[in-house]
Amino acid sequence: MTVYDNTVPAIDCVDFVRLVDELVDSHPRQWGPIVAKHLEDCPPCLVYLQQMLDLKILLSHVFEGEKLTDEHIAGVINAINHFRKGRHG
Amino acid sequence: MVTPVAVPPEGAESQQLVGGIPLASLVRDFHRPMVNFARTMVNSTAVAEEAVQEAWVQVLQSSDSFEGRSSVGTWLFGIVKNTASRHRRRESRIRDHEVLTADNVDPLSGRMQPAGHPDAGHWSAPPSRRFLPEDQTVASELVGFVRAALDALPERQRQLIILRDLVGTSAEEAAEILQLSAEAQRALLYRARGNLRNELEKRYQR
Repeated sequence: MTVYDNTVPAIDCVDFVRLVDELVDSHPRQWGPIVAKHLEDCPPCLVYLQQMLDLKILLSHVFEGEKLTDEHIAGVINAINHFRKGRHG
Repeated sequence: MVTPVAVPPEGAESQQLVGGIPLASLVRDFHRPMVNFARTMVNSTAVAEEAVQEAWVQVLQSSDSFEGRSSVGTWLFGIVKNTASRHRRRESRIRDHEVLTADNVDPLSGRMQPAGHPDAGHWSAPPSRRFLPEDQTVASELVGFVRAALDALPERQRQLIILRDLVGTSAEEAAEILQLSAEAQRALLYRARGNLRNELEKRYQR
């Protein structure tokens, strides 16, 4: 357990949840002592942060099966060309 | 609707550079996210595909004028937003969620102790457990659930999640594409991710 001196200001949970989007988009090393202190003191906010990190991982899988193969890329480019010709030809 | 088919590309278009990047690379990285983004604005996947085809044509026509002041992704999604908007006007319809104000509800409304309470500013109904196991194994059924929850979000929230969490644009780029202030982008992201979290939480409470 880290002992924080009185110079680290305390925030409440309402303040913390407003910070969470920035936290999930940054590296934990950048979070700073205010966040670390609150997480140590507040298990519910730690769960909330973990849920939002889990959500980010889940979202990264949402369109995983939709990556285009080389054949599909060729098909899209051909379709673009046909579309152009259809409009201008 | 123009569906991709497995035939070799004609001509030299696939070699064409857009902002210094081969068109084929841009199609690989951005075509699907662009369709998903356009789908938030129009009635069907077919119309979304058509809007994206139009966007690619515009991209090719104006690639020489791309000056690199923003990233290629920001430029592409800005064009898709315009072409999809035109298709939406053609559809002449008003979505229910566009006339509702429920989009602005705080996802954590009622979860914190109110002002005046001895524990004001702290959880009254705290979250109970995380969504993934320690090893972060992701079950496909859970991913499908998140996809459905994403599809059910209000349009602007869905657009922002696609840009920020699926395409990986920065906060500044997403704000530029959606024509939001930095503060509005932050508030919208808070609501969008918060609403998705709420849906996952409901699933775990069943």
